[in-house]
Amino acid sequence: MNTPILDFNDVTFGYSRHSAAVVKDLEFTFQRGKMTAILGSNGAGKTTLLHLALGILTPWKGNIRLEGKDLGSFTRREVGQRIALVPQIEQMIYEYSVLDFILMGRAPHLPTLGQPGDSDVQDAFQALRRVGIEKLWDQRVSALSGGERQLVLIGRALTQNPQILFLDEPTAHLDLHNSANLVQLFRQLKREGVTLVITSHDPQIVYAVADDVLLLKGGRVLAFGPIESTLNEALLSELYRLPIHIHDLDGKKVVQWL
Amino acid sequence: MELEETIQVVRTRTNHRYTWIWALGLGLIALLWVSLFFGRYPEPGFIHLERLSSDDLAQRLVLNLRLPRLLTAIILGMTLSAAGMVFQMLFNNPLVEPGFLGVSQGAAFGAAFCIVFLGGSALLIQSFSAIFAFVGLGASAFLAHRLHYGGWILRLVLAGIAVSAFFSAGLGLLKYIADPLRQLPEITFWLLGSLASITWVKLISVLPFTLIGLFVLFLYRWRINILSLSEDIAFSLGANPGRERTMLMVAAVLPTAAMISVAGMVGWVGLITPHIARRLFGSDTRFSLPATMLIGAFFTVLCDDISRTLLAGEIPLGILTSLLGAIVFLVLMMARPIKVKA
Repeated sequence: MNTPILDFNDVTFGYSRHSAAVVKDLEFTFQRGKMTAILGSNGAGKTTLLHLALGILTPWKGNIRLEGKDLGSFTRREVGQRIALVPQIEQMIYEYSVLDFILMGRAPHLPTLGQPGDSDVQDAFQALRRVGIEKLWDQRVSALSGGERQLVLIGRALTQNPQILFLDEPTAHLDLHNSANLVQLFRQLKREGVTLVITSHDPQIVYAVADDVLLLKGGRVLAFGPIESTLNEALLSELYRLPIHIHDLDGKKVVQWL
Repeated sequence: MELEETIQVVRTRTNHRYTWIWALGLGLIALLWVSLFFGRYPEPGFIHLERLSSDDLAQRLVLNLRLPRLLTAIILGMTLSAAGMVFQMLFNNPLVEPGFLGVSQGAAFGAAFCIVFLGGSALLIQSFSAIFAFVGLGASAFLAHRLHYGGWILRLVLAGIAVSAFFSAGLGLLKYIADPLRQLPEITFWLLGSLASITWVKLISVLPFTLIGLFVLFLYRWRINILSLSEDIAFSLGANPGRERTMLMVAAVLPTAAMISVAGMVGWVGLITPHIARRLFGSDTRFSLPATMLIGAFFTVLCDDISRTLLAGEIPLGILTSLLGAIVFLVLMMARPIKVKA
């Protein structure tokens, strides 16, 4: 019972007409309630792919369909109501409290000149509770640790109440405890029908929650499909130009690269 | 249950912040009322109500000079601080001030040009400084499009710096060739900023720009938070950062240019009141933008009161805003956090 939610059909894009395309002939489908992990070395086009899917960038060629309709036919607010982005880091110059910051996630659900009210505060707290930092709501974001900040960013995205959640290296700053909690949260979100798209350099996280993998190399799709049948030592080694071994440990996959 | 309690706490704190903003507003009205009766006529200090009711000159002075001047001071303070806040947010840079996109230096050059070459009647100086403020802004925007370095924000900042430097060189040249007895003092006085020459006509001439600009900024007070985030995040939150930021910049620059053209260069208000407001109310512009407008207005009226009353001659407003601004700023930043937001 796979339901496509976001399709890339033969998408090609480059930043300038004078230079070569950054991503070429991208062709894949994200399924509702599944997690797709995007793997690729640095500069493989992962961020470009996310920006294309958000509608920030427009493909040169090919089209992107959200819920079966052309992405360009959605207003930005409509896209914001459906897709949330969790960046790796976010530069912050001014001091916001965690709550004031998280409330910004309600923006796509409020009118342009609207302001968050009680129900938005409630949504924000539910999101904070899900990432386990509701106690920190009146702390300054700048005073938090790197891991807590990453949870704040995930919290803001959850406040957006999205159907698709893009996460750029969500576990990069997390300790093992928080990573494990996040894996639980991802499983819960999948059960709720939220589609997760994650870029990660951590194959362990990928094996723990991802259903599909998308391997990007030099802006092209190297492989795409269910993780069990797609991910293998040869492909991973080619992707990262490094001998990589996958061991089976009582049914759990363990990736070894050192 | 626990969630309900926390939400109640949040609600109380939000109301608390609004209460303080209203208090600032009432304080401003009180200051306006007091200032109306405060001056150097007939003698330094407050004018007696009996005197005011019997003295025809005093009535005209209060209604035709002091009232428009005070209202201009309020709008000037609101404009500079709101524009400063919006620019600091949109550019993600705590050091920018409202005129940095070539607006202040352009206006200064225009005024000096008018004083040196065209005799410099009040209306002509106002027109020239307004025109050159927009020339400065236009040149910055144009150059930013042409630069091949950095993102849009950085390009605008760099173009603004270049255009400001260009006009500042021109201003230096004008000062150098100006008649040191007649023209140079006039240029200097204009550069230091003053509300001494404000009349109802001048006030009304800038009112449409300032009110529209300030109203737009006020309406966008929560949205500015989202537009201060990085491009892709603002986008993913359903905003159109390019278009909305440009619109807000125009809404901030229009009133700024209009106010500089009548009041000259009143420094520091636009740079520091946003910091004071953030220090007191937190960074969320839903609260800090209205707060900075009221603080800026209060501060400017207070400085102008001193400027027109302390000495027999006017003390240029810009000197006082810089001096007092720096002191207030340092005291507040060195003090323990006394946040209204609790």
